[in-house]
This record gives sequence, structure tokens and C-alpha cells, in this order.
Amino acid sequence: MNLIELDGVDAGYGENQVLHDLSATIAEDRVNCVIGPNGSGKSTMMKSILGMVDVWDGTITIRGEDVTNDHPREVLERGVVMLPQGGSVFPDMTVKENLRMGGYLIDDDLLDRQYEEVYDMFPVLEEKRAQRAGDLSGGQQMMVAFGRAMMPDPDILLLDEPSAGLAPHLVDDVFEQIAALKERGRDMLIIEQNVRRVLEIAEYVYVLDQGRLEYEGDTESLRNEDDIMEMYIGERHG
Amino acid sequence: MTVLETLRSGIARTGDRLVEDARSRNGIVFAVLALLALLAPQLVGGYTLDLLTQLIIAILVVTSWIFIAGYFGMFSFAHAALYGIGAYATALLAGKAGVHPVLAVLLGGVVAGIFAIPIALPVLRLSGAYVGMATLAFAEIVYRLAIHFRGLTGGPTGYTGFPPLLGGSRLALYYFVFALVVVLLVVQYGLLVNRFGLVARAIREAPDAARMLGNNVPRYKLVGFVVGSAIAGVAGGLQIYTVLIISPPMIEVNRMIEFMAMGIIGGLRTIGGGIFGAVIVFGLNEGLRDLGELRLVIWGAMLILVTIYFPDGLADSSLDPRDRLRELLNRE
Amino acid sequence: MVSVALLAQQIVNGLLFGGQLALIAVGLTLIWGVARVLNFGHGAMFMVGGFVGFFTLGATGSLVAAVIAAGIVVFALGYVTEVVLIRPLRDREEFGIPSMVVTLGLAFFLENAFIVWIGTQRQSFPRFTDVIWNVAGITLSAQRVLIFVISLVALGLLFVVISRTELGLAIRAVSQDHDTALLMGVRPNRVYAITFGISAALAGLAGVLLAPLFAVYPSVGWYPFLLSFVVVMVGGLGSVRGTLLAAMGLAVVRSISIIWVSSQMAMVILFAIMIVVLVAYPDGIGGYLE
Ligand SMILES: Nc1ncnc2c1ncn2[C@@H]1O[C@H](COP(=O)(O)OP(=O)(O)O)[C@@H](O)[C@H]1O
Ligand SMILES: [Mg+2]
Repeated sequence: MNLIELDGVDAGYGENQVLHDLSATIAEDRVNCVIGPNGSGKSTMMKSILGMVDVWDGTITIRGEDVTNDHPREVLERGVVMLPQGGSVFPDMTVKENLRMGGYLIDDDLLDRQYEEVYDMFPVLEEKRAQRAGDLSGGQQMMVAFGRAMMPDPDILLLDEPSAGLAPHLVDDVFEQIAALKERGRDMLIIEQNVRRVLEIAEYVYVLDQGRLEYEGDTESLRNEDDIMEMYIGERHG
Repeated sequence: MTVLETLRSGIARTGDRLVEDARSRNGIVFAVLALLALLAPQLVGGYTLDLLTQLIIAILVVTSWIFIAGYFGMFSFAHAALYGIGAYATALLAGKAGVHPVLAVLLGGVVAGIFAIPIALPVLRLSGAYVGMATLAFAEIVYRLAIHFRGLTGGPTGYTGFPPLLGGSRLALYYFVFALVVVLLVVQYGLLVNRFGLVARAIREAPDAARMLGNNVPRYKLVGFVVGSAIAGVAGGLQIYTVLIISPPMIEVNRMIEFMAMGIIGGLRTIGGGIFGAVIVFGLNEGLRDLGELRLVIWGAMLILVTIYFPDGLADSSLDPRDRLRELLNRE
Repeated sequence: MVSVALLAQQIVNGLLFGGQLALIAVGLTLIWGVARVLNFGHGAMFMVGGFVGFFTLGATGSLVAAVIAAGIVVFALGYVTEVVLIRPLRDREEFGIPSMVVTLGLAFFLENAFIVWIGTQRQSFPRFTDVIWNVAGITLSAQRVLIFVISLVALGLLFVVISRTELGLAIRAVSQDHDTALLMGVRPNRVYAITFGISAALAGLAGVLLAPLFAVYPSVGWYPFLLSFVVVMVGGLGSVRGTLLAAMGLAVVRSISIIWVSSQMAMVILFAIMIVVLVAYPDGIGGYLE
């Protein structure tokens, strides 16, 4: 079954249209990635799924249910969670409060189990749970953001450039983490500038340019698309 | 370019723009209003003429506030206080120092301009709502000092010991006020349609860009604040000759709110907005005087409604209901 | 020379007044911290609280009912104000000034509506108690102490709500990062409205509590508004800790200075302090502490 479907979506900010007639189908049980130049509308696509930007035309459905322009809450309740670019932890909250925010919509009896789950994934967060998140290092803040996104145990995790702005060894950590999540069967939609590394993990690729879908297909077939590879990935088929 | 050439081209530009603006919808309305104002003493007299004099003075106060708040974006609450400082200065200079009343009015403007400088200092360092907060504190201080120094100001009951202007002729006063206000309106208009006004707008809309283009932003703001305040001071001086008293209620915060309401209801983006707003609010206040405080309820509500539904004021919005509806629907 | 006893008395009076001032000022700082609104209608909320308390007391004879009714009615007034007046402005590029203007308009509207409805005369509010204590030469009115204690309890409750409850968590999330809070499933619009309601309710509560001292009349809110306005500027808009500290400090400054000067001049001193702080530390002493 299709998990998320965008159908003819136009979206933008104020007068400025960013997405043009964008249609894309995100099936279940796979890791997807979105690539494309800066400013091509990747984040906007993700935000339109979450209900964070105005969709002017077209529809967005989750498992067949229309969620176009719904409150992000409705989307979250359908198991779609987004980790925004840069992580955006709440700086003046403790680590644990940040995780609590991630679990804002889940039942109280589930909370404890989810804390355990996240602490298993990032033991350092348990150690620092009472510290102010804004005082942590960049890498640890990324873990907080990751952990926070895992709190509701999402069906699909939307990651907006999770490795952006991190030191090289932390970039490795992030991709290890993503690989581990894939290992455990977590669906993901990942926006990445680090195309080579994300293509090692993703099974399906969307290429966006100027708010239009230029290509979609599985990673293997992409490698045979010389034009796309050259234009967007800077590599020629060997 | 020499100073003289700058001045000449500035005046030429002012003239061109004036001719251009006079042809617009609002321009025609204002031309008719000005004509009516000139003829008014033929039609009305007595108390009504006094009211018209006060309306014309209110126009000067509001436009000079718009000069500061609308163009530069310095949302000052100190304007009524500076208007009051001009009023007190004029009264005291004419009453206690024996200065000629006409000169006293002009000196009142100078004094207000001088008092504006210390107020401008925090204003230059702050932005947005913080400007409002700092200037409100100044206004409250001025109000309280006016009550406190009773030996000088007459305290809470005010001061009346100054001679009348132009022998106390109502008609002469009217035309004097009209002429002076027109001159000062044209001066403000001239400044605003020339480079000065462009920089002012740039400072409001994009302060960083204005700075990077090499404009001395603090100096422009200081000059804007002082010039606008001095004009308010002149208005204060004129006002005392129509009401023949200067007392603290003339400068309390309610007066400020009234001037502010005039500016906002008319529209902060043009001098014309100030004229329009002053006429509406002043007219409402006088026309509905029998309603007592109910009229204040009405324009309190107007202030709210205009801010929400006509962000650019009534003078510069299309009043066609279809346009309003469309805009509202688009916003949803 | 001022006697030590008088000085001590004025310091105590100042501290007691500081607690009341904190109750009014904290609502002002809260709504700025969360929603970036400088609420010029805060004094009007105080006034409405006083009237609701006055009428409820008249109808029921119960002070407790008066306090509760004031809290509830003014909460609703604050909530509606946010939804009807502030929310339509939120998408504006410039939000600070229009939101200030509409709340100013509201204050003006409410004050004059009450004048039209009820008139300008002062309605006196019965004292809670007439007991006077004498402790080490310092006179303590039991009423002022009671008001002080209730203020502290209300502030303590507010603190617990903000730091310990799910609502408080949502309020903090929205104030720190609106968009991310939205991504977590928070409804920021509702949070703004509730916060506005809480802020107003605190002013309304203060309106009843202080009614025996200030009486009840349409323009009663302006003076407490100005005082709390100075307090939040000095304390740092948005900083609850700074606001509490500034409320105590400025109330003591005020009550000591009225040994020598009129209460009008005491206000001049407070405003002057505010301007100096605003220029030297635009984030107030709260920002300086952190
Ligand atoms: N909050 C916003 N308001 C206005 N325009 C925006 C906003 N966010 C992004 N944009 C514009 O939308 C376009 C696409 O941005 P984005 O979706 O962030 O691109 P990407 O994530 O692919 O780099 C850009 O031109 C950007 O300037
Ligand atoms: Mg992006």
C-alpha cells in the first residue's frame, strides 16, 4: 500500500510558489531519499506533507486518507514524523523535556517505554537527561533531535538534511544511525546533500529541481540514467 | 552640487510631486478641503471657527507624528509630551519673558526640538515596540514634572498668564494657524518626497540595507525625530492661543492615544493619511460630543478595527466593499 | 534625618507592595515571553477583575466567590482577546506595533465602556480584615500581609503549571520555537490563547485583591499597568525571574522615595530608572543575570 501520496501539489510561501504540480508516491517498506539542488523545494515538499506550508492545489494523502493542509497533529497521529533541518531542539528545555515533547501526542503509559527505547539507542542522552539541551554539543543536540523524533515510534521518519553542518566524524555517526534504523525496518524519507552516502542506504530516489519532480525510481535504475547522474549527482556511469 | 542647487532641485521635485498627487483621488479631496478651509470664516464663526482652528492644529500634530512613526518607524509615545513642551515654552516665553507671541510660537518649536534630543538617544538604540516603551516612560515623566513644578507651570490647574496672539482676533488667529500649518505641511511633504523621505522609508523597511548603502542611519533618525518633534512643539504653541490655557491634561497619555488613533485610522504611510485621520476622529469627537464617553468607545473600537482590517489606514485603502471582501478572503 | 524605624517600615511596606506588583507584572512578562505581545490592555484586565469581584461580592457576599469569578471571567476575556484581536495580526511582517495598538485600543474601549455603563465614581471595596499587627515597632496590616501571601501562592501555582505540567511544557515549547512546537503536535494558537487567558486572569485576580486599596472604577487599571510596565522593562520582558526581582526592588525604591518626595515624583524616579536600564541593558536585569 502507498504510505504517502502527493498528487499535483502546488505549494509556496505568500506569493512565492515553490512546488509546481508535484506528484510522488512513497510506498511502504523502503527507505527513500530526495535529492536536488539548494532551493529546489525539498524541505518545502517535506513541510507540505506535515501541513507546515500552505498547499495551494492538489492533494496529499496518507494511507489513502486526505491530509491536505491538515494540522501537523493529524499527520503525526498517522505515524508520520519529521526531523527538521538543523534539529531544532528546544534549547531552554532539558534533554528529557525535549524527548517528552517528541512524545507530546502519545499516551502516558507508552512514554516510559519510549524513553527506554531512545536511551537504548543513545545512551548518552540518559546520562544527560537533566541537562539543558542548548548547552550540549552539536552532535549531542542532533541525538536529542533524533531521539525526540523516535519518541512517537513513527511508521515513517522524515529527515531533512540530518548531516548538514556536522563535523565529519559526526556525519559518519548520523549515517550509521540511519543504517541501523533501516536495519530494524524503519521507513524513512531522507533529504540529503551528501548524495553519495545517502544513495548507499536509500532504495528509492526522488530528484527535485525548481519545485518539479525530475526523476523518480529505485536507486539501481538511477545509476543507469546518465543525464540525471551527471546533472544532479556529478557522476558518470562507470 | 551646491546646497543651493540641492535645495532648488528638491523644491522642483516637491512641486512636481505635488502637482502629480493633487490629481489623485485623495489629492482632489484635499484640494477641496483646503478650499473649504480658506472659505470657512465666511460660512461659520464663533466657537465653530475655534474648533476648525483646533482641527487644523491637530492635523499638524498628527502629520508630524506620522513623519516620525510612519516614515521612520519610530513608534513614539512622546509626541503629545513634546507638543506640550512646545505649548508650555510658548506660554512661558510670551507670558513671563515678554517674547512676542508669534516669535514665542516658533521658539516653542525650537524648545521642543531641543527636548527631543535626549529622548531620541534611547530611541536610536532601540527598535519596534521597545521604542514605544521608552518614549512612553518619557511622556509620563514630562506629564508628572509639568504637575510638579507648579511655580513654573501652574501645576495641575495650568497657566493662563500669557497675552493673546494677534490681538485676540479669532479670524486673524484662524488664518495665521492655517498659513503656518500649510507651510509646515509642505515642508514635511517636501522632505518626504525627496531623498530624505526615501532614506526614512528604507530605514523603516530594511535598516541594514539602508546602512550598507552608506546612509548614516542614526543621524537621519535623529534629524527625523527632532524635526517632527519641533513641528509638534509649534502646534502646541498654536493650540494654547486657541484654548487660552496650558494645563497637564493637554499632554497626558490620553491625548497621545487620540493623536495616535488619528494617525492610524487615517493611515501612517502618507501625510494625507494624517489629515484624513485627524478630520475623522476630530469630527467624530465634536459631532458626537453629546454622547459623552460613548464616542471614545466608538473610536477605541475604530482603532482596533482599522488596525486589523485596514493595516494601511482608511485614506490609502480602497473603500470599495468588494475589494475589502476579496482581500479578507485571500488572507484566509 | 529619617529615623531607622520609618526606613524599616517603608522597606516592609515596599516588600509587601512588591508582591502585589509582581502578581500584575508577571502576566505582562508572560504574554510577551510566549507571544511577543506588549499588552496595553493589561490594566483594563485588572479593572475588569475588580468590577467582576465587586459585583460578585455584592450578589453573593462571598469574597472567595468574588476572587474566583474575577479569575474566570478575566481568563475568558483574555482568551477571546487573543483569538479576536491578536491572532489576525500574527502573519504580519510587523507584529509588535499593531499588537500594541489593538491592545491599547481595547484598553481605551473597555475603560470608556465602563464609564458609559457605570460612571466614573469609585466603588469602595470592603477590607478583608481590619487587624493590625505590631512587630518590633513596625506596623503590619493583616490585610496587606494576606494579599501578599495570596499573591505569592498564585505566583507559585503559575510556576508549577509552567515547569511541571503538560500545558506548561507546551507553553515553553511555543515560546522557544513556534514551528518546532507545531511539528511536535502542539496547537500554538490554542497555547497563545490560553497563555493570554492566564496572563489576564492574573491581572484580574490582582484587580480584586487590590480593590480594597485601589477601589474600583473604570480607569483604576492605568496606574498598576504603568507600574508593572516599568517592572517588566527593568526585569527584562519575558524573564519571570527578573520580573519578580524588579517588582520587589522597585517597590522598595518607591516606598523609600515617598519618604521625601510625592508619589508623582516617585513615579518619575521609577520611569527614569526604566529608561536607564532600557538603554544600558535592553534585556533588563533578567537578561543580565542569565
Ligand atoms: N519560510 C519561507 N518563507 C519564504 N520562502 C521560503 C521559506 N522557506 C523556503 N523558502 C523559499 O522556497 C524555496 C525552496 O526552499 P526549500 O524548500 O527550503 O529548498 P531546499 O530545501 O530544496 O533547499 C527557496 O527559494 C526559498 O527561498
Ligand atoms: Mg532544505
